[in-house]
Amino acid sequence: MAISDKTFGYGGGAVTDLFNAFGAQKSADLSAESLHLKAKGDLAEAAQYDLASGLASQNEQFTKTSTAIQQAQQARSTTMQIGGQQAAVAGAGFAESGSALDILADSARQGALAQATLGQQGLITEAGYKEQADSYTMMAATAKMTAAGEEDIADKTESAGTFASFGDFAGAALKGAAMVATL
Amino acid sequence: MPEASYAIGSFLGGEISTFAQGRFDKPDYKTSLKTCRNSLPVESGSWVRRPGTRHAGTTLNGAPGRVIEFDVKQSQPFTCEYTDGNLRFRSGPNVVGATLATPYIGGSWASLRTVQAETVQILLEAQVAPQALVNSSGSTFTLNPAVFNDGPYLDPFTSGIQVTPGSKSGIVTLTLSFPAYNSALAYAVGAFVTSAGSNYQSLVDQNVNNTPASSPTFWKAVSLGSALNDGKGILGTDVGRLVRLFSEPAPWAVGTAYSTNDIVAYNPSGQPGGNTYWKALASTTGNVPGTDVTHWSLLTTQGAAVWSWGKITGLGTGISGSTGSNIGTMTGGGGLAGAFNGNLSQNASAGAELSTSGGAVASGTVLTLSGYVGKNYTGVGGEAIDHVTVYPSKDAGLGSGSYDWTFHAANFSANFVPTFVLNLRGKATNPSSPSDGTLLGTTGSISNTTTAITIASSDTSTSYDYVWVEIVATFAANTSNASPTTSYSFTESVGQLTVFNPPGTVTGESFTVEILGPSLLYTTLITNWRFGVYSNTTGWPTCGVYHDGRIYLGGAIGNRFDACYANGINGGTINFAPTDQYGVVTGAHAISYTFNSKGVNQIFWMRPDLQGVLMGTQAGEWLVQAPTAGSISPLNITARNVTNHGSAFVEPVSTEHTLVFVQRFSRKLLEYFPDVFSGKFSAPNLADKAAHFTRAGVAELAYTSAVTPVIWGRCTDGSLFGITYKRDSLASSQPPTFYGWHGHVLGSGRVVESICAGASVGGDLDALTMVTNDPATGIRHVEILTDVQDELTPLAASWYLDDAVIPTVTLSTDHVVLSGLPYPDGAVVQVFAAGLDCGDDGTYPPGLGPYADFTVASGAITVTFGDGILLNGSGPGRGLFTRALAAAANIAGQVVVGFTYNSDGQIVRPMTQAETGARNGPAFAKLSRGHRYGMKLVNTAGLSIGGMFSKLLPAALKKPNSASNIDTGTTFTGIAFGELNDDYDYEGGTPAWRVSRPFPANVVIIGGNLATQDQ
Repeated sequence: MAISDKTFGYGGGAVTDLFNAFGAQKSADLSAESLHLKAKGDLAEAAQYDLASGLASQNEQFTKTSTAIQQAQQARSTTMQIGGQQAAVAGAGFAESGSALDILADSARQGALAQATLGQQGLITEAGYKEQADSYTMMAATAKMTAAGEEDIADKTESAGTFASFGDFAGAALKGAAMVATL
Repeated sequence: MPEASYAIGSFLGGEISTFAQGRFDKPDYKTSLKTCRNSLPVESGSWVRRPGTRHAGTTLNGAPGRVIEFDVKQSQPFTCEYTDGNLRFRSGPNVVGATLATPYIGGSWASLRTVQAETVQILLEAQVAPQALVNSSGSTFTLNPAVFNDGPYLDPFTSGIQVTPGSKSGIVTLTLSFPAYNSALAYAVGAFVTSAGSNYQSLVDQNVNNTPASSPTFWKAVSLGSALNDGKGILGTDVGRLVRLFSEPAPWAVGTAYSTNDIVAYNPSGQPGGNTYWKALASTTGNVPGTDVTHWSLLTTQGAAVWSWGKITGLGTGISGSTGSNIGTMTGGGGLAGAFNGNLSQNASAGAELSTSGGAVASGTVLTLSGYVGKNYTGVGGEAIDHVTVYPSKDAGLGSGSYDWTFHAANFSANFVPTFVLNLRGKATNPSSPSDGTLLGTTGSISNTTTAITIASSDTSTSYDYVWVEIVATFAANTSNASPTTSYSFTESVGQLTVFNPPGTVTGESFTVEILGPSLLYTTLITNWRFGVYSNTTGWPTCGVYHDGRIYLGGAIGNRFDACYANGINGGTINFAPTDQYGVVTGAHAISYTFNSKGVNQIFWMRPDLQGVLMGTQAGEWLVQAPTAGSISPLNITARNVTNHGSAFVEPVSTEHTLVFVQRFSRKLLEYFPDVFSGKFSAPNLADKAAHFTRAGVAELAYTSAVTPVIWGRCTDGSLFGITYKRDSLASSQPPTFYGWHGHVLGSGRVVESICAGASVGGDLDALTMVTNDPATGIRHVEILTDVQDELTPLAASWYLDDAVIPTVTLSTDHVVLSGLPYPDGAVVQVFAAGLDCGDDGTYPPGLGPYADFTVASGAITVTFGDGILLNGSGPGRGLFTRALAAAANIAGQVVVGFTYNSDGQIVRPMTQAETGARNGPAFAKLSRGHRYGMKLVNTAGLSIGGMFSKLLPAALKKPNSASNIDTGTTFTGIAFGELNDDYDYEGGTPAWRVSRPFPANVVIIGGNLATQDQ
């Protein structure tokens, strides 16, 4: 019994479909793997942003604390300065009156201004850190969202590969059956 | 037979008191004198006769006055002559420039002090605002009130009193108020609040939640004035006073809605001066400044708050001068309306006046003049009166007048020295006399013044329809020798009268201020403000000094001094700004400090010193200096209470190396200097050996050094003394190089009422310038001590007469008339012409008198000519005063008429064995007798000597190698010796010498031989 051309044709088609199925499956797997990897990278980036945001928030808190400390130090310095001036006035043989009061008032005014200036500078720095933290938080959220999308696409790519390879296997089976039928 | 001899070649010990004559152990005992009158030891050690004084005219109208030097340039010194209301200038003896009107009346010039800065002299007196005397050029002077810009100030108010300006510039009304009552706060005793439209003061401490109106045990109702001027409120005498205001934005309030760019003050610490300033960045309510950066932006003081200053121009409580109708008896001058025309500084003729006059009244008769000026407020329903302020006229004060009399056919005139009593009175009906109605307040007896006077009312609640001030002037005509007056007149005057309502207990009290500094930034409440320290209410500085480009002032307030801005003097305008407009104190700003002292004493004097500024109070001496490198500034200053001797209110004098001041009880003269080794100040008493000179109390000092360094002093009794003084070593353990006291009694019999170191007659040396008074006539003369003559001065150029003048000489055939004499009729004067004593007519041997002096009649004397015979001539100048000599002397300016005086010297008793011949110890309590004297004399004539002043005989002034006396009109130089007219005495052996006629005498050495009886 001779094997006809059709038989060879169906057999070859079946083999081709089999290999196509394996190729499609493999290709989909690779694409999905790639997307998974990218998603992992985005998650890692998001984690960094979270970390940076946390640090910026910490800096804001540190600045607040630092400003409070500096203001307290400034207040102390002003108090020390005024106290020193009062002692100097008394030590110079004068009552706390006249020019002495003018000098003390000037010192008190300058001390209050310096203290307020420190507070303002602290507030400005705090605002900067807060802005930084907010920015990092936003960037982390974005990265996480991107990673999630990529994972989803990878999953879908894998499903598509499986579906495509199933078709090819089905084609191969049909062609195999057709080949057998021609014998 | 003499047993010992001695020789004394220095008289620099001067006259010492009887108490000090026991210290024969002291090195300077031998150079001391029992008597040194109208003479002085000069620097070389010789005893010289005090030169006479030059009559430099009477004071203006012969009135009481004083002299003060004003050395614009050393080569152009002036002497200022102050009398009541007037100022004249002298260059040497000559009056120069114009007479200026001054506000110093009622004798207030007597306490006048000056501070000179280049061509400006600031005149200081406690009751009169400082004046600036400016020498613009040559002998041109101007006198105007000194202008103090922006200070000095008292400390900011801490009582809570605050003001709200009605506008930001120009004439600003400031409304007084207290902080609103807060039931949550605890109030200390004395705290002020406003509650329900009324003002209260806390009566207790820890006063919490006691509503003032219903808690009379915790609060009392008060007026706003309770917090000002020691409870007196703002007074009429505060007009013109400086005010400094810190214009800040309103404090941030939590419930206030703020718009963009609104500015607030915020004080998170609550500490005084801790305000910070914020500008709204957006509309905001309730956002605390400094808690975010979106609602408020921080501002510096610049642009947010500013110090400004101004001058009080009026009081809200002042009743307008146009309110009501005028009443009173003072209808002269500008009439009653003149006292209410609003001009606070006007002459008597523009104000209200009342005059009186009369003819003969006995000397000493006390006269009174009583008038009144006031208001009829019937038309406005009456007025409650808090106080009135009387502004005396600026030229005559509260009144002036004069009286005339004749004495020995001469006419005299003098000004009354009145006292005044001002009474504030009120009544419901028209007063029938000045003393009618209810007495509401009085000044008591006061001297005449140009300074505003406030009379507080004892009844501020009653409304009076008629309110007036009664002015009672009391004055007496004190003529010479009890002569009755020929006429008198007196006018009392009121320049302006302002009546003030009581401030009441309601809010809204106000006063107006002319803003002279930067415009205010806001019309919001001002809590940080201050009053000027000097005013008619608080008084004026009484002493000062110019040092390092600053004028220092003090004396108005105990322990306090003020110094102006560095180089802040521009003519009569002085900058006293304590800070810049933002409150910054730099080294250049004005200085105001108060000593930390155990007592409160006014500063009486200030003097510049190498170490800083020395200041003297009644309790002690202070050194104000810069503690670190650089000059004294508000930021670089200390004060040390270096010594505690205390001072009298007498201006010290600066000598070559030391300062000499009068100790607090006016008896001691302290030379003040820092010890060269320790740096500590030392104050040896220069009067330790001559307390008899200062017994009456030293009233004035002057220092001249042209020929011999002499500290001159005037005592309160009109006596004059001098101290030939020098200190070379600044070691406090060493006495001065010399300090020899000498007393002076003017030949004219006049008493000394003022002294200063003015220009000499020739203008090239400094000389003592005096105001003297003849108690008989009361006419004051200005006299200048002529130059101490040196050993080469020719006799003809001598000037040994007091109050002397160069007369107008009118020659006749046999006599000369010397006229233009400023002496009263009957005065006996001496004439010295070209070396001749015209009173010596040759009747008696030389030096023995009596003399034929000359009696003044109608300001002139007549001197006949002598016979011209050289020896034993007859007539004036022992016959040598001839017509030819008189003519030549007149041309040479060598005819001098004045009053002679005795110049006396007497050594202290020699004590040592070598000097006295005592054989068994000191000569104390042993009889001694001087047998012989010897004197080395230079250019001397007319000298007498004896064992005591009652035994004087002419000294043997012989021609060289001759037994003959020196010729008339010549002097003796050489060794004079002879027998001493003396007796044995326990104080014997102390030669005394005298010159009593107008001749020079210079004793270089005195020696003698004496015997002492041992017992």
